[in-house]
Amino acid sequence: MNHQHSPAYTSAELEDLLCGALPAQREQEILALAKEDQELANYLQKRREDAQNFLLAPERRSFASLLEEANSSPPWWRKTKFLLPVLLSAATAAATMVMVPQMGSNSSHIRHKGGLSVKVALLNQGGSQLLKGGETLQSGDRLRLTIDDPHGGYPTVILEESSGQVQLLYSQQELGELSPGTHILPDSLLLDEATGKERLYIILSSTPPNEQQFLKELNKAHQKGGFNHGWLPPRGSKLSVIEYTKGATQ
Amino acid sequence: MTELTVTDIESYYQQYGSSVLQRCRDILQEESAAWDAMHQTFVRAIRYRKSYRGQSSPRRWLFSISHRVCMDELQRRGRNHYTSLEDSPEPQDEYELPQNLNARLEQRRMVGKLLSLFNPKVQEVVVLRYFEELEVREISEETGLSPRTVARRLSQFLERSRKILKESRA
Repeated sequence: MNHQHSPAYTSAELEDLLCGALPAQREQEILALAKEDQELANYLQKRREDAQNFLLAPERRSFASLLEEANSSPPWWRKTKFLLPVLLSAATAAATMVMVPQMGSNSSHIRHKGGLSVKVALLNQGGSQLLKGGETLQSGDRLRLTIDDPHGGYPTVILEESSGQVQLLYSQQELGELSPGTHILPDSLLLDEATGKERLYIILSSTPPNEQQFLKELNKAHQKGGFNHGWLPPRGSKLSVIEYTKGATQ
Repeated sequence: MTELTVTDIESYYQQYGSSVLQRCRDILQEESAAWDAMHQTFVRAIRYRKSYRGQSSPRRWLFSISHRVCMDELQRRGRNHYTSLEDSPEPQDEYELPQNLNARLEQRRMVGKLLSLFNPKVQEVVVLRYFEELEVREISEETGLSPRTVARRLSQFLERSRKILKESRA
């Protein structure tokens, strides 16, 4: 067993101190340390100066502009911005990528389990339309998810890639508890150029779920049998699975 | 705990903005990217303010958002993006941080250079260990991972970091 040696103060404590959020007694202890520790004193002084400069910095956006962005901007802008270089490169190479939803025997690529209703809207330059299966999608198209449930709950959305990697796309921590009714999830999903089969798991839990456990279980299930697993969230959760294959066009 | 209002977030922007910016600088090590990440942190805080229920301090909540924003940016950059590692000190083991503040800041700078080389699972625990300086037990409580898993991911980070540093100096 390793023995832990904690420093006299942690980064978290220094941040709380600088924000005025550290308990008074602990703050006095650290400030007393700073009288004997010139490095610490200098660091605190510099950070306080940074905090003053921050308020007048030209790079600092007004809160009103942040509020406007949060309330009205398309949630996908961030992902679009981040993927713009990738998209430009793809265009230069004239390598347009598409995603082709995999068709099941019933011509539906969306499976609902436990009564969770999910709609997938395709957003592109021509507007938006609900997916029914069989559509050909272009790189840069976006998918927006809508959950409709009469009881509400805590939503989680997980992406399972063909490599077996699983990613938490939406967490209940971000989205909070959904009230009964219809909810359009913020942040649409921008189709990238990765190819292969993928699945989206949209889960609605009646209590705050252990999402890390979901990820762990899904990853483990995939490692055992690829996509041929029947992973389900625990009882009390509703699930909808969207499965598709992404591939390149000519 | 009443739900946060936009006014609350506005006061947080004044109170915590500089600290959030510094954390983004530490992780991303690029000034313009750090400003973008800081702004995006508060955009998300406004958007998802109703999910905050006082389970942690506002500062900790904002930092957790900023960590996620920064990790998204690191993923976007890909694994080929890191700066020179020459003269970078080796990270300490997962149970012990340097006592000296400047040594810790230097270590944080080195960890920031290496972060983009690791997957988000490892990044998550590394950020909490080296930037927030939480102990393994506290990271376990924060993430819901078992202490063993946290320690294993930190060990993975240390082992591979040392190998990378060794190769960069060869």
